[in-house]
Amino acid sequence: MEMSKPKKVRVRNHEVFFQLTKRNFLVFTRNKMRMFFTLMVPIIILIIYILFLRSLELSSIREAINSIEGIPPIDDKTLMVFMDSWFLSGNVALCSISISLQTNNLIINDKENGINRDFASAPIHKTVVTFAYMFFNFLITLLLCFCFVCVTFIFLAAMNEFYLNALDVLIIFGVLAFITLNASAFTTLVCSFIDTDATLASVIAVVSACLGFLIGSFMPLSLMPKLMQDIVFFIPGTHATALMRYAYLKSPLEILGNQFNPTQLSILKNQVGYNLIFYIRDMMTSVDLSVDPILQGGAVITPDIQAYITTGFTCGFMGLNFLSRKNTVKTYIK
Amino acid sequence: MPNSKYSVEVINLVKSYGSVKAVDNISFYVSKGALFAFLGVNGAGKSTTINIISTILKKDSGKVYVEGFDLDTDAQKIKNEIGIVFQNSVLDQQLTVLQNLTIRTTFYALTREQRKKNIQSIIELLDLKEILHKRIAQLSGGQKRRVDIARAMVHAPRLLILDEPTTGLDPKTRQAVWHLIDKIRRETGMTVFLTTHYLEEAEKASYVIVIDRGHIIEHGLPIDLKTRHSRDYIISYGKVSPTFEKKLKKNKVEFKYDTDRGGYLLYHTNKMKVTNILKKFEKEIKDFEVLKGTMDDAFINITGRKHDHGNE
Repeated sequence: MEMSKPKKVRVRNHEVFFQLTKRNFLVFTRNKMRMFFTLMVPIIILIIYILFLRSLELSSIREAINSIEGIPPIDDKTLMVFMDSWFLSGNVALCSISISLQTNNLIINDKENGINRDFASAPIHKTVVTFAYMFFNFLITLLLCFCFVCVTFIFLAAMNEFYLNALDVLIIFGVLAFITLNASAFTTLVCSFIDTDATLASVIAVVSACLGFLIGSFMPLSLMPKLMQDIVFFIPGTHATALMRYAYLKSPLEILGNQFNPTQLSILKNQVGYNLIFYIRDMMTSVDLSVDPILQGGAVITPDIQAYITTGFTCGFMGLNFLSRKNTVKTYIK
Repeated sequence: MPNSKYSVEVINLVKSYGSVKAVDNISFYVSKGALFAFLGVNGAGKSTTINIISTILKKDSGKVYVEGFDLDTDAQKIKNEIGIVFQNSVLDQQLTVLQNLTIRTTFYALTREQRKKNIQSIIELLDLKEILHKRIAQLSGGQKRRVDIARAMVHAPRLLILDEPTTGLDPKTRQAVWHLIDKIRRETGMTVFLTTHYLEEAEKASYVIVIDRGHIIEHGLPIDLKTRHSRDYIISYGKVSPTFEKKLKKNKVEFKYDTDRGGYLLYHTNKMKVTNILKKFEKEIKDFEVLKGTMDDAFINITGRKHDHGNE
């Protein structure tokens, strides 16, 4: 039997990276039910919103807007456009994290099934394996979130609320790719410390229950106490949500802007999570929704700063993933 | 310095998990081209040793050389020289046989043409053509094992490590896997390092090491182990008979009653040969068999406990 032996010790890392990413992608996508249920999570949240929360949210938003001094009355149609875009953008940002986390059960399965031993016994670097996991996670999450974004567009169109132009759509997909990369880096790091499917399921349950509120997907962060707003400022998903809000609300806010003066518009942006507020002083006092947050000791974090912060988080997570590569490709000796 | 005669050299290897010493100062050598068997019950330290040799697990102390490379300094080079068939399959169940093999070849520094050539050779050697485009999940246990072995051989390693390759397989499939191992050795001249708790499998090896609780308790050719630790005997089927026992004692025939088999085991010696025993106890021995000592007997005598064929 004639076979060739490896001549060198070093393998081509880019080729291994590509093949491992392909392998991860194929293994994950062959399980159609897993794909389906992963995508179902944000869709179920959307259905719950349509059936139960929409009318409730409408009254909250109306109240928030009416609390701004000197605001003219706004018709329900405009309010609906604004509110639906607000909720959908939050849900897209949340699903970039929840889908990414669920997708990572491949990493856990590889640990549990001992497939990692195959990687560990081959002359390939753990860093390559780790980043192949991360890139695969990015691709799957992006693909599924892309599908969900299309669902949100269909919903907006069906409600006759589609005011997004081509540039808005481009920005939405750009922001989606940007925050998905951040989510993938974050969840890959988290999953490097998780060794069993049961633990991952518990983490997903906890994240699903809390994260939507903590990052401002389900309710404006401005409703939280100042101290809490400062705490959630350090959750990367908070900035991801705010960036997605920027992408979805850009045009609806322009429509509303025609009815508001610049000060009123600025207060509104600060209240709905388009801008984030970091409270530097008077952290223990509660927020007065009718007063501009800046006057209450808050520093305004605009979308461009949010983008810088998200980039910083992404780079930081990637660095931590590099340091945690041994955990990601941990092998169990049975 | 490593000896070029050996494929694997293990010197004073120690590995502990907390206070438990899984491998306690063991030393052994595996000659090039040999079929080497590491025999022991579960928890004896077999898998720990091969995981260290395979660079997956860190040792506490000792030296390990594989194909002349030092594990401490040349682990990457060792990875190119070994192929491992793990106890549990590490194939991707959702992918086809070809996809599994293609992905695995990229883990080694081979050119595209070399990869294609290696995959083609392995398909022919292990007769994988018919199942090439089937998903692993659709294959039978024996077919999966064949692909597992193919996966371990895609880079033409010099040392093939098989960790209990037939555990969980039915007797027919086990036989098929053994045919395959024989064929691989015959056609490639590869060194095969096997761990097993099946005694009859160890019997096929060219050299056996018996490991128990992290210690090597015996080693040698299977025939030597049998000679040293088992004896040929006559089994005389029948009920317990005090008169027969009295007579056996009087004639200094070593015996014991085996309740499992329902008969007396009569051990013959140079003085009292089989024919003599049969002649002398013509009346008492009605139904009998003359049996050769087995690896089972040797194992019981070496470890001092009964082997239960891997069901521990």
